[in-house]
Amino acid sequence: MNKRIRTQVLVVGGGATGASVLWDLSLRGIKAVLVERKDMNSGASGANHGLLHSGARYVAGDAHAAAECREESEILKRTAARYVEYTGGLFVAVKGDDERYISDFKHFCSKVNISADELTPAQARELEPSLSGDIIAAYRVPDASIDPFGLSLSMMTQSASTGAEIFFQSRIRSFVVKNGRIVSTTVENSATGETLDIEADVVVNASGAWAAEVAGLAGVSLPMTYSKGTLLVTAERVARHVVNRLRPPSDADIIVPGGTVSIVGTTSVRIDHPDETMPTVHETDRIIEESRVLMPRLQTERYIRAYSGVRPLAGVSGNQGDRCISRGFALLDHGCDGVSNLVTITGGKLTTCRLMAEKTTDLVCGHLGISAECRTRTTPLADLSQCGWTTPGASASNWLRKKAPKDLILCECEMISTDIVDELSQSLEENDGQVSLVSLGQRSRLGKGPCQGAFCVFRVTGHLYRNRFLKGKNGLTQMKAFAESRFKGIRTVLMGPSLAQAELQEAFQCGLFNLEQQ
Amino acid sequence: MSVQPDLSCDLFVIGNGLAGMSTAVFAANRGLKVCQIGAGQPLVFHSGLFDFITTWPVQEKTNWDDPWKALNKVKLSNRKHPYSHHNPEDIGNAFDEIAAFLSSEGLPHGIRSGKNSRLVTSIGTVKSSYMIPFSMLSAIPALEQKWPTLIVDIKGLREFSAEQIRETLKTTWPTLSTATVDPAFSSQKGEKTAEHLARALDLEQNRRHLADAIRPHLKGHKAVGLPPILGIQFPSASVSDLESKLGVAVFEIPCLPPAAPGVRLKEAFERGLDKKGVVRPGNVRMNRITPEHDGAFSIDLSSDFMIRTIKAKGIVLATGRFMGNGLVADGKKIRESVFGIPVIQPESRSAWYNRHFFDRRGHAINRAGIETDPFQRPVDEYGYSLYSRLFAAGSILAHQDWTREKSGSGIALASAYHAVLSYMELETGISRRYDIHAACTA
Repeated sequence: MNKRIRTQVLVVGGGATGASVLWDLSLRGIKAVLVERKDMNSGASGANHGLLHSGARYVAGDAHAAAECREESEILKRTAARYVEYTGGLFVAVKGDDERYISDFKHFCSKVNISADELTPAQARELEPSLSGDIIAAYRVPDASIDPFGLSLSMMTQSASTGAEIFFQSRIRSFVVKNGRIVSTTVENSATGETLDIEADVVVNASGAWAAEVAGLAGVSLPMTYSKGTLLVTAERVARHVVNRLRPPSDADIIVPGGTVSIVGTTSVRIDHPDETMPTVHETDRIIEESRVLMPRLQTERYIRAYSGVRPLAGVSGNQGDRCISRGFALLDHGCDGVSNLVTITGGKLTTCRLMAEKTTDLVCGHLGISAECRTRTTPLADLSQCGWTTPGASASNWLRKKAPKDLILCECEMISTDIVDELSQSLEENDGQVSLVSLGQRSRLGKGPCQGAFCVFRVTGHLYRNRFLKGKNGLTQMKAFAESRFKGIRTVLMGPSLAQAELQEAFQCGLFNLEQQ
Repeated sequence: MSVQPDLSCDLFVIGNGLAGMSTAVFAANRGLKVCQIGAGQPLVFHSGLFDFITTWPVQEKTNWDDPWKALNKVKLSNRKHPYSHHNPEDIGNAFDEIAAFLSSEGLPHGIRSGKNSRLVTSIGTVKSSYMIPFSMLSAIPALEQKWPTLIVDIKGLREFSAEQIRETLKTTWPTLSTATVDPAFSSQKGEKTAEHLARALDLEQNRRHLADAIRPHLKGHKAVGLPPILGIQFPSASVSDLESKLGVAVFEIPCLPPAAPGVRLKEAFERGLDKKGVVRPGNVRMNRITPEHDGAFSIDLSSDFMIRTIKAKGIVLATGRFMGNGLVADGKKIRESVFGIPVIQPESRSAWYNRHFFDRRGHAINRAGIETDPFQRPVDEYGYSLYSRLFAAGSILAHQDWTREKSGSGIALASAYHAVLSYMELETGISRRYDIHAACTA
C-alpha cells in the first residue's frame, strides 16, 4: 500500500510557472502539493536569459504580448524586487539593419505605453562603451534582469511555510482516471523508488515542455512543438544594460547582464523531443558570430558555459486554438478532452509567469467553487536568505558584510562559504532528504565561476562529509555527476584560455584522483 | 634599461614544469652549460607522485601493477606514443637520475621493486603510482595490510576531509578512524593553507604541538595519515621526527594541488639547479628566436630592466599544453605557441571533446600535440625535423593522454632524458644504442 496524501490542488512541474501557481494558490488559502520530476527550474525556467522584458522586443510583432510584458515587469519589479536588477535596456541597430523597423520602433512602443528614449549612437556608446562603432540608432527602454532561481525558490519556500508541500525528484507514474476525473496520482521518487499517491480535486499541469507527456498520462493528447534555444555565459559582465538588437526578433540578438556575468543568446532550432537539450559547437559559433556585430568584444570574450532550454509551443493546432486566452501562453481546460479536473498551463515567458499563474488559479478556483481574489499582484516576496545564493555576486557581498571568522570560503570564484553550504544542505534535507552537489549547484553559484568547479567541488564535498551530509561512496558519485553536468555546459565553449581550465580539471579529477575509473 | 652582454650556452630550455626542470638537470649533470626560462610556477600543481604508466589501454581501463609490462603494451599498440621513442633502460635511468638529484636536495623518493604502488588519495580513491615521496611511503603498506590508521584533519584546511576518506573506504578498510585537531602553532584564523602549515612544520617546536594534539586520539593505531603538511624543506626529517614523537608510522596523503608536495619539488629543483650553475633569469620575456646558419639559435630576452641575447647551440621546448601556454587555440585550430610547429589535432572543434567528460576513451584534444623524430626533434607535416637542434619534451608531445594513462611524470622525465642524450649524440657525433624496437619486444 502506497503512502497517500490528500490536497485540493496538485501542481505538476517545479519551474517558474509551477512555483507561481503554487504561490498564488497559497496566497488564496488553497491547499496545494507540487511535484517536480527533477529539481527546481530544471527546464526552460533555468535555461533562459533571465530577462525581465519591458515588452519592447514584441512591440512590432505582438502588441498584446508587449503590453502584458510591460505590466507584468512593473509588478515583478515591486513584488520580487530582491531578485530584479534595474539594468535598463538598450535597443541598438547597426549598419545594414532594417531602416523601416528602426523608424517605426518608437511609435510602436508608445502605442503600448512603453517608454523608449531615443539616444544618439555616441550617447549609447557612452552608456555602453563595448558597443560596436557601427551603431546607427539606439533607444533606451525599461528592461531589467531577474534571477529565475531566486524567484522560484522564494515562491516555493514561502508557499511551503504556509502549508504547501513540495516533492522534488518525483516523477508522475500514472493518473487514475475514473468517470472523467483524475481521482489519484501516483508519483515515484527517482532516488529511492518510493511511491506516493496524491488525491487532489484539481490537477494543474505546469510541466512546460513536458506538458504533452504529462497530459498523455491522463489520456489527453496535446499537440506541441519544441524549439531549442542555446545561450552563452561570459566570464565577465560585458555591459551594464540589457542590450537588444533593434530588429525583428532573431538569433543571438540579446545580451543580458546577470550580476557578475552576461548571457548572450539565443538560437532557435526545432527539435522533436524536449529532452534534447545539448548545446552544439555549431550553435555556439553562430551566437558568437551574430552577437559580435552588436559588441565586437564578444568575438574574443572568455565564455564559461553554454546551455540550452526548450521553448514549449502549445495550442497551435486548430481545435486547441480557441481555448488559448493569450498568444503568449496557453491555458487549457481539459474538460472537453474528457478529463474534467485537469488544467494545462504552458508556453509564455518568464516575465509573465505571475499572470499565467493568476489566470490558471482563477480557472482552478472556478473548478473548486471558491471565490478568492488573486493577491500576487500586490504581495511582495519576502527576502529569504537561502533564496539569494543563485544571484551572481550575492554571496560575495554577504560574506564581506558578515565576515564571521569561522565561515570559510569553499568556492573562491563565487565566494560560497561553509555557512551557505550548510544552510542550503539543511533546507534540502528538510525538504526531501537529499543533499547533492548538483542540487546545491541549482541553489547557488557553485561551480559557475571561472574555475568551473575545478577546486570548489573537492572542498564542498569534503565539507559535506565533515558535516555528515554525505555517506559512504556517495561523494565520488556526486563529484562525477557534478563534473558531467558542468561539462555539458562548458564543452561547446572550450576554446582559448578556457582550455587551460579544462586541462587543469582533468589533471585533478582523472590524473590525480582517478575519478574516471570509479 | 641595461643591455647585458651576450651569453652563450649549450642548451636553452623553454619551460619550468617537470619536463623543463628535468631537462636542465640531465643537461647540467652531463657538463652542459644550460640556460632556462619559464613562466609561473607549474610545479606547484604536481601532486608529489611520479606516475610512470598505470592504465593501458585507456578505454579498457586496464590497470597494471608492473609499468614495464604496460610499457611493452604501449610500444606494441601505439608506435606514435612518446614512450615508443624510448628504450626501457633509458626510462629507468631517467627516473633514477631525478630520484638521486631530488634526494641530494632533501627530497628522497622510493620505488617499490620496480612496480607501481597503491595508495589512498584525499578523496578516498586509490591511486597507483611509481616513484613515491618518502613522506608518503608508509601509506603503501598501510593500505596493503589495512593497518589500523588514524586519519587526521586540520581544522580550517579545506582541501582535506578525514571523514570523507573514512566513509569512502569503510567497506574495504574498516580499521580507519578519524580525528580533527587544531594545533596551537597556527595563528591563522579561518582558512589554513597546506603550504602555510607545511612551512610552520619545518620547525621542531611546531611538530611537538602537532604531536601533542594528535596523541590523545591514538588508541591502538599503527599509523597516522595526514594531509601533506609535514615541512617544505625537510619533509623526510619531519616525518621521521613525528614518527618518533608519536611512536607509530606517519604518512602524508596526496591532496588537491597547489599543496606542499608541489612546492617542495619546485624549491628542490630551483636550489639544485642553482648549485649546478644553470642560468635561470627570472621575469623575462622571450622576444625573438633566430635560427643561425650553423644550427644554433639566437634568443632575444628582455625584462623591465634589461635586454640580453642568448646564443644557444640547442633548444629544448618544454612549454607544456594549454596550461603552460605551449599550445594555444582559438575557436578553430590549435597552434604551437613558440615556433608555430605543426600540431597534430582533430579536424574540427566539434571533435575536440566527447559528449561526456568521463568518456572512457578520453578526449581527442588531449592526444593533440607535436610529433617528433627518433631524436626527439619536432617534425613538419612530412615528418622531417624542423631544426637540427630543436628538441621537445613533456606533455606537449602528441599521441598520449597522460591524465588517463597516468603517465605525465614518466613522459616528462623520459622525453627530457632522451632530448638531452640526443643533443649530445648529435653534437659529438658519437652514436648511442637505438634498438628501441628490439627492446620493446624483449
